Amino acid sequence: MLTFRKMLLILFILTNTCVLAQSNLQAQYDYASKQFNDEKYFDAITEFKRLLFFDSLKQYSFDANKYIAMSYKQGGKFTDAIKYFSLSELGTTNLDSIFDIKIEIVKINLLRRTIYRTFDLLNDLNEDILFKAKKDKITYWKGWAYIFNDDWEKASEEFAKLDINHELKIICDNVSEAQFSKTKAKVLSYILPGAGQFYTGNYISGILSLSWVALWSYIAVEAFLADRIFDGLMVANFLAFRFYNGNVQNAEKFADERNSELTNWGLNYLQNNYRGPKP
Amino acid sequence: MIKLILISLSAASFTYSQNINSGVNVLHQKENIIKFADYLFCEKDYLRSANEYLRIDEGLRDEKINFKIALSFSTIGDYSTAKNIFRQINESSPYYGSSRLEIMKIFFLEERYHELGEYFRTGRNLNLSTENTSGEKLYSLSFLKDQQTIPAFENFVKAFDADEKNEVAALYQLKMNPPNKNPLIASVLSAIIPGAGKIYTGDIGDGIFTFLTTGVFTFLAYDNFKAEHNFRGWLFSGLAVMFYGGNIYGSFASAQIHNARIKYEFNLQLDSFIKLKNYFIPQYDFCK
Repeated sequence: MLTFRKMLLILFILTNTCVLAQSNLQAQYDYASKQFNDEKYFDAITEFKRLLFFDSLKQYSFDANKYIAMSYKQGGKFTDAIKYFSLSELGTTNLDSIFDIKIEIVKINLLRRTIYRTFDLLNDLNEDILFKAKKDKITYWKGWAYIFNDDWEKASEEFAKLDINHELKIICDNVSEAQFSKTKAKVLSYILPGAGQFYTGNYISGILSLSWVALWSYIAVEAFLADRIFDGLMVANFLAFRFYNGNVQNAEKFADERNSELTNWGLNYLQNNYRGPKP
Repeated sequence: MIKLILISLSAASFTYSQNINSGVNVLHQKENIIKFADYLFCEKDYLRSANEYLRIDEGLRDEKINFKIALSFSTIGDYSTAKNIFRQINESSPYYGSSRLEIMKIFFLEERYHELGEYFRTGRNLNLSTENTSGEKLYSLSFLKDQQTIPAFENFVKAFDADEKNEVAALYQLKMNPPNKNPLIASVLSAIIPGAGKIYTGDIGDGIFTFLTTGVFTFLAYDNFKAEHNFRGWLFSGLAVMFYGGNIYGSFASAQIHNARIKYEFNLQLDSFIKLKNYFIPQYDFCK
């Protein structure tokens, strides 16, 4: 009987020790989560790091690392966020969780504009037979990758694979149609100086380009006609040709500027008005 | 027996609820705070590490913890807080000498070389041989950063070890005799012979191009006026004047750019030498 009582006493002590350690970690997890939910991301990172430090059995490894990563992401520390998402991935064997983490990493790569890395990651996911059932999600994020790569036409094609009337497809089509072709702007300016500027809506610059090239060409031709070949060559090279070249570069620059404005408008619109998943 | 089990379970559940709802979590007790702060310090998460150490009551913090707090603040660039804490470290503490070096390093990083010198001189007579030697090295190199009078070569290099002397001597010579170019001379040269100023500053290709273009346009202007093609004469004159003026201004700018590059490269060389030497501060063994 005495031995039995001793055993019970040991059981009592062990239970309490175990529960106490467990409850401390759980309490710490709850406290850290509260910091995260209250948007106190710096404190959330500290508290989740504390949890990880004392969690010798790594029971909270997945969640704590994930929350740390999300907090870093909120603070714009994308490299740290990727590091902790990767650590989080190591803390789970659940395929859905792994996929979600990989997509989070894709999203961060989008935000930090490492687009080639994003495409690599998405291609890896696409080729992985474990995620065969997740093709739609991969296609969806590939669409976003094209948006961030400023290729709205290809983005539209990706979203069309999901749904021909996908909201993002329509937005991408609108931006794509409104964009200016750099090649077209340059070719127009090659054919008629100033025409590329007219195409991008910069009329004054177009008129100036045309006038300068016309003036220097006229003077060069006049020199050639007067048998002043060297004079003609110098005017043609240092003035007419320079202005002609500048006119082509100018047209390309304007097309770039207008396209940047449209891209920014598109991204701004998506940020404020699109309700679906975003990076 | 049943009573005992019930007591055990209720005690366990009580403990659990206590931990969730109150601040008695053992993870936030002093020893665990120190362990966690040490971990953060070694992980180079200095701001969090300092914050954790600061959670411990001031009266319960030892000199080592205070030193690590100051070191954390110094590393993240909060020099003012770091200096305040370093200054509070007691003269009898084993960290006193290191604190002095760290304060000198901060003065150096803040480019307050005069204060660095004064601080070094006040501690010269203290019984801190290692720290004084390291301090003197940093103090000597601060002369190369400052515009004040630089000591004579023998005095300047005497604090340095044999393996450091060559590099320090090279830096000293570069500071004393920088291969600068005079912008005024460059401009005058270009005014006399277009492009000569640029050749003087090392932009040889640019100099030759300027000479040729200015010469050709001047000749064309002369030739067109001579042939009574006045419009082209004025046109080429304008171009010649433009190139000639640009060449004088360009030579002046080229000399300035050359000098700025010399200064930048010197500072880069000096900074990387000092960083490589860790500001002559011995490595700490906090994370072994």
